[in-house]
Amino acid sequence: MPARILVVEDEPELRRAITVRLTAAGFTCDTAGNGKEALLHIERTRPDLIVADLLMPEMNGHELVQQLGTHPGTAAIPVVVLTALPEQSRLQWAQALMRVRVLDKPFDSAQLLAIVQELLRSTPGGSSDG
Amino acid sequence: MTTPIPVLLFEDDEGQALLTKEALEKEGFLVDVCATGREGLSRLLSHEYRVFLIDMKLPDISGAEVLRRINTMKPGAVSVIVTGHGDEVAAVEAMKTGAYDYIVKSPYMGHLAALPTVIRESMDRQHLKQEREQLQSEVWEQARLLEERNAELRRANEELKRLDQVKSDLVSMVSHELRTPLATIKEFTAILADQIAGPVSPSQQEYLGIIKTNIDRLARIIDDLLDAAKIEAGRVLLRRGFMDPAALVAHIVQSLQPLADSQGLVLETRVPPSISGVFADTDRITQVLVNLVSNAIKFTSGPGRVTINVEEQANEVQFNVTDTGCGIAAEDLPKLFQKFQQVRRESPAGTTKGTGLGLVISKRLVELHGGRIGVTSVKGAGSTFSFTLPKYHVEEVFREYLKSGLEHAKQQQHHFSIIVLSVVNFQELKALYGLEETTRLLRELETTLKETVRRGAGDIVIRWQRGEMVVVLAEVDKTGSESIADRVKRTVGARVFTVNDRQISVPILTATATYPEEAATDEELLRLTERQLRRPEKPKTSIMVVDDEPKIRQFLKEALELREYDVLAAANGPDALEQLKRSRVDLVLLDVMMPVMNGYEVYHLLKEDPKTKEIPVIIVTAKGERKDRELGIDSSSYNYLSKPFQLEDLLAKIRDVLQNGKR
Repeated sequence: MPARILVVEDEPELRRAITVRLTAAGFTCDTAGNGKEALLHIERTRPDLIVADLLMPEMNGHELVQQLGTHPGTAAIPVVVLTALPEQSRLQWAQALMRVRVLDKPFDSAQLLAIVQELLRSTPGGSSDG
Repeated sequence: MTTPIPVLLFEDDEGQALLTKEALEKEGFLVDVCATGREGLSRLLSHEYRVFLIDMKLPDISGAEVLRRINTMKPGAVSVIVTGHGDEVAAVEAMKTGAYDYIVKSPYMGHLAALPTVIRESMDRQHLKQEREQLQSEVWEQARLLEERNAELRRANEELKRLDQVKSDLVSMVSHELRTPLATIKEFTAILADQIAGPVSPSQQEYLGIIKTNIDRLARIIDDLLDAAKIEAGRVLLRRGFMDPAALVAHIVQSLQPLADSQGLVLETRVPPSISGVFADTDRITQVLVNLVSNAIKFTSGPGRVTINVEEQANEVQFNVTDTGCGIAAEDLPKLFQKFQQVRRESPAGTTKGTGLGLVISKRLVELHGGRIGVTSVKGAGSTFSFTLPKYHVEEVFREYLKSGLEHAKQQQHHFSIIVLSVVNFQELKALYGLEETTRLLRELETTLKETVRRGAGDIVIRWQRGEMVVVLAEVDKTGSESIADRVKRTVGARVFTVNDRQISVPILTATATYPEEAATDEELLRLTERQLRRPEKPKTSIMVVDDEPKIRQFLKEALELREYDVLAAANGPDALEQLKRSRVDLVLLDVMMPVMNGYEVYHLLKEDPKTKEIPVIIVTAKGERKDRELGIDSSSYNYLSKPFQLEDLLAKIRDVLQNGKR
């Protein structure tokens, strides 16, 4: 079973680019336009990993991660946070959140894939094959 | 002839008025007389007078009242009080309320001779006073203008600040708005280049490569702009700590070696093996050095050489980056560190272009660290860029680091914890293996700690205060800090260290304190951990100093306390015996020559009491005072110390007596 990734990004074109890239790497992708949509989606289908933008309308990436953390069923889902405000966001994530990684925009696809695979490998029940 | 000076005289005695008028008019005054206060005051409305002569006793209103009204109607007018004998008190009162002078009537009008002078002097005084007031009002005016100017400047300054803020906000907003579309472009370019969307011809591949290079360049420009704007707005918070220059240089070489290789350049380093640590934000200084070294590589065509050389100076460490490149013209040197003043330097084909902001950012960052940056260059022969950083002074640096870390956490509404580690048997280790070996051991311990505390979760500040402290600072909550402490304790506990070819383990204690749960200030954080780490203190050896000379007593007390003894002082024998009833004492230092009771008497009383007879005593004597023979006692049973003695002798004697238990 290929790993399932939820791509949460409010810019449709970037969302599409990421989805194309991850699908090409063998992952199954679902998409959401903000944190709220993401949570609704997660209730139906639990992803193995989430790629989420930081600044989004309705519910931003930071709130999304916090929401996920409050439920035992979702607290362990690894998240790659994409940000266009590198330094500020890094500080916000300075806490020892092992399952969250921050990636600055514009990012390298190779970097994104490496982080995704590493997070999936280190998550129990996750699979790194793509 | 000068115009006569108009005078109004208030005088009800007609004869006196007439005499006064005559006397004054001979001296160049023109006198109007009024017999009552009311009459005179009404004249004031229609006539101009320079001087008012006022008799204190008028039939209708008092002279004091007349004076008051004149001063109200004609502020600053010259008034002179004319008063009868014995009425000087009222005249002096009148002076306080605005009269310029007073004159006492003499029975035969003899005072009239002096009156013109009194009036003229009063007028002179008025003149001086007016001048002074004039000057003062000019000064006030100047001050007011200055204040207005200041207010204008303040407004302008605020406006500038606001504009500056707008500019920074704009820059960071724009940077942010640019990054997302750039990410989309970059990702789709990569998707095409990776042939995910279908096969790509070699020339298409090449063009995609050019697009990618330029996307990366644009991204770098955005980063630099954002950085420069932030630095200028003073919004860069340095996260300073201990930084090892050697490790920094090694890191730089590792990441830039491929770039140097690709241009056929030798990248070499010269770092003294025992270089001091510096107090710096490692990320920021890495940024500076990467900028300088990559510039050097960029502007040097192979075969050439780029050298990173680190030198230690009195209070600073200096980093030099020297290249054998094209050099910079002397007239361009000052422009290098100015904004958007990219000096056109021919960079070898194929290298990436800069943003013109790198050196500006580097300069600001170095200056924020309290260092200096500069350049020397010879056109055609190469350049050397140098910067300095202040050395690491443990305690002050630690304090600043702690403060800034906490400040940062407060701003970000984060937790902030300090985790303090202490080597349990540090003093013993030092005694057993010597300072040098112990210091080496501590360094090894530091390395282990750094490996254990992952960077990102915390920063290690080594503060071997009293040789036994390490502090980890981290933006973690109580649970997080306890888990770090626990991890460190387990890792260090499990490790075997080698000291003088012996394998030992180093037991450590840990303590943690967290903001905001447990403490609100840096002081409180420290105090909290120190309290947790405080070990039951071994009771100090207590010495009683008995001497009648206060200065000697004080000197001995201070000297011994400095050497970690507890000291009780007594001024004479009875005082000493009294104190000994209450306090535990391990040794008595006894002067012989004392009033009331001499040292020998005290000694024997001590030895007779079963409670004190075991306490060893050192008897301090001047030459020729020894009376042991006289007293028929074997001198070997005394511990003598002869005056004058060196402090070292005393300390040696104390150690000796305490160890051998000699009395």
